[in-house]
Amino acid sequence: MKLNLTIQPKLRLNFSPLVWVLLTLMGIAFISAMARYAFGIGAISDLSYSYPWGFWISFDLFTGVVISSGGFLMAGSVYILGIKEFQPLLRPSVLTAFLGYIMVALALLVGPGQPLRIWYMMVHSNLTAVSL
Amino acid sequence: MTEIKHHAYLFDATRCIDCRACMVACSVENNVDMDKTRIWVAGVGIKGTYPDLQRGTMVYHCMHCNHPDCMSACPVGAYTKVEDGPVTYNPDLCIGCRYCMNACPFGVPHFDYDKGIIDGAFIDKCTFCPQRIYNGQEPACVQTCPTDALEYGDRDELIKKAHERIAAHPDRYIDHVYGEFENGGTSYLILSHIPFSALGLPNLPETPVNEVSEKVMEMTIPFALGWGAVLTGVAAGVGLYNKKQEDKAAIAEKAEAVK
Repeated sequence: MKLNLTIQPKLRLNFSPLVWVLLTLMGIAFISAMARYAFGIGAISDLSYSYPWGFWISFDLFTGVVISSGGFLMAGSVYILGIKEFQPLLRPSVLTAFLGYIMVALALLVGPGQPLRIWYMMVHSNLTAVSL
Repeated sequence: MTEIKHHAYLFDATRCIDCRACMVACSVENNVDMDKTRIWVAGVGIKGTYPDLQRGTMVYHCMHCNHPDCMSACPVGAYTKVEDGPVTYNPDLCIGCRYCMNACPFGVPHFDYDKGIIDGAFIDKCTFCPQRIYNGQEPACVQTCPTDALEYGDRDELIKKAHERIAAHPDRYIDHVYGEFENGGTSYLILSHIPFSALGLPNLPETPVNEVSEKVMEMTIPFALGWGAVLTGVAAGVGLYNKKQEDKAAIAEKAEAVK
């Protein structure tokens, strides 16, 4: 079969409706993250002195970590247990895991009061902290 | 004033008249907004029928625990327990993660929910007025208290004083000094005529929670390294086994070819 290579690809935006829903959600999330950086966490959440952590941590953070678990499982199966049959699945799952941890990092930067100091956890580590 | 080895407060709920002067004094002394005061006074209302009326009021601020949970939970070590009592907070290290707010059994640390990235949002809590106590003065809340409901002094002496007061009026007080042993002992001792749970104080064991949790959390790094070693061993073993199988297959193939 001969391919017609003269057709140039064009930028097309015919996403499925669900993708548009997700993009809208992303837009809202981006706007609220910017609002948080400008006006504080109280502006976008209902956190109080009694409930300093909420749905935020449990959803944003933990869904990202859970998505990444597949990557660990695949990498463990292929590289540690030597199951070479899973090799083709390795790359997509590790990529998904990477994106999952990027999600975690982005969500993590919205939470604390001093996001620019997040690296202090590495330098001034409290080795008995529960969050370690 | 005698030398103080371990700074502490004694709060007597029977003497508190709910005037909230301590809140004002604290905010003035430490330059804190009144709506973010480090002291908060909770009245539990008037109970009973006339003439046996009972009124309960509780002044809360940092308990300055001997084994602070906030210090144990803080991932950057912004909290320190000073030898002679106060639990101090260092805003230069704080990353604003609010772990201390989750950890504190008394809900003491407060957070700036309305500060953006430029101002930086910090934790705020009672500092035990170091600018006053190390210059021979009482903390602002104690000095301003008109009925001596709040007292300040050496922890051992205050415990003795509290037990003496209970012994002098056994009908008035509950025979327990809250904070003597709770959570491993606190530097804020409380005497009360109504149950401590009614004042909003949690029922805590004598062993501090962090003593248990730290024993587990100390194992994190050894466990991670050990698990890494185990997995390395497994990977090496599996690799060797596969190699052997392949070699065997190759030898068999060769033998087949020779035939």
